[in-house]
Amino acid sequence: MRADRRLISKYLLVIAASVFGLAACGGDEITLSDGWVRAAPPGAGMMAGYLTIENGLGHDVELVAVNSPDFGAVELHETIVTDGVASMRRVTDLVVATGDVWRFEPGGRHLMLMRPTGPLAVGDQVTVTLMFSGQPPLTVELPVLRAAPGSRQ
Amino acid sequence: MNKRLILIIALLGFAGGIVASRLLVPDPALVVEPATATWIKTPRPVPEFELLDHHGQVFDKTRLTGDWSWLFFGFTHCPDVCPTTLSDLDVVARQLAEREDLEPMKVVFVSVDPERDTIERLAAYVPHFNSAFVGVTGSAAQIGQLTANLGVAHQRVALSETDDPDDYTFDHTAAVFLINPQGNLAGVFSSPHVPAQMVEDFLIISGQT
Repeated sequence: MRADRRLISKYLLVIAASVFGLAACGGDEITLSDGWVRAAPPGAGMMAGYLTIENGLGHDVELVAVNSPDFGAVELHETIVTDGVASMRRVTDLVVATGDVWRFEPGGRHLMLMRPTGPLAVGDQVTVTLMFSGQPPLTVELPVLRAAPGSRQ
Repeated sequence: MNKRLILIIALLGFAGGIVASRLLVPDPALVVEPATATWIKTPRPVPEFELLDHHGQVFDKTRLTGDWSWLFFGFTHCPDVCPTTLSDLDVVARQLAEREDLEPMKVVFVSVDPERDTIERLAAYVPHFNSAFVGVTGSAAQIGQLTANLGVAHQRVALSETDDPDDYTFDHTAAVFLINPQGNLAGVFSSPHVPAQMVEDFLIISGQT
């Protein structure tokens, strides 16, 4: 069952990637890329997800909601380091201006994924849906990884 | 003729003086400094403290002697900075472990959230990043003994508008502290952390280049 889900997830990812690829060529879409979720120890109540949002629509959009069937709640947070002290705050300005690229990265903006509905291990996929104003919902599959893609594992 | 000779002697003397000064006074550029870390050249003693590790064993100052120790302060409900830093420290630990000539080192995660971070919780959390890492907790007062001395800030902050009393976070110092085998603070690694750079700076500070 789990294997089936994974296989389906993989196909969805391929389809999603193709759609995004085409959209990127067209340049009139919101593009989501470079997504991943950091693997957390068993029992962790909070995890962080990262991705890049590129607004190629030609007009500003607002990110009105983010949710995931794999988590109780998802919030957008930002780590800010001031005089060496890290603080985490909710991102309140969610307007993605036309042409803007939002990079969610460790130590910066992140999706705060709260209360996982089940255990998540390296290799699993997390489904996240982003709702932008006036746009159909965008769903992405984020792989659970031990460390950022491209970093030395 | 004499004038020319005097001039040559004077020039030789001048050049000799420059060479001699270079030889006698070391060029500051030749002393290798860490690129990003702060090197405390007169290491500062860490005070006595008493906490518990994730096995329930006493973790006091004697546990910070004998090896180089890396200390990081955080909390297990921290989704971004703490897992990122522990993951970076795992890369550092594994890179240094490849060097057989180096002394073993330890990595210690000190919780600033004693209410939620029990010994059991730390035991489930810290070894996930590296089985050799040690999680440490204690009462707020016990933790305060160590954090106050090292200048580690930690402040509880409500996270969102929900009524969940568990829904809080901590503002906390993001730096990693390096303690030498004598139990003295020898270096501070501020964020953002770049593991390869931390390795290089550690080797300079510990004199193991």
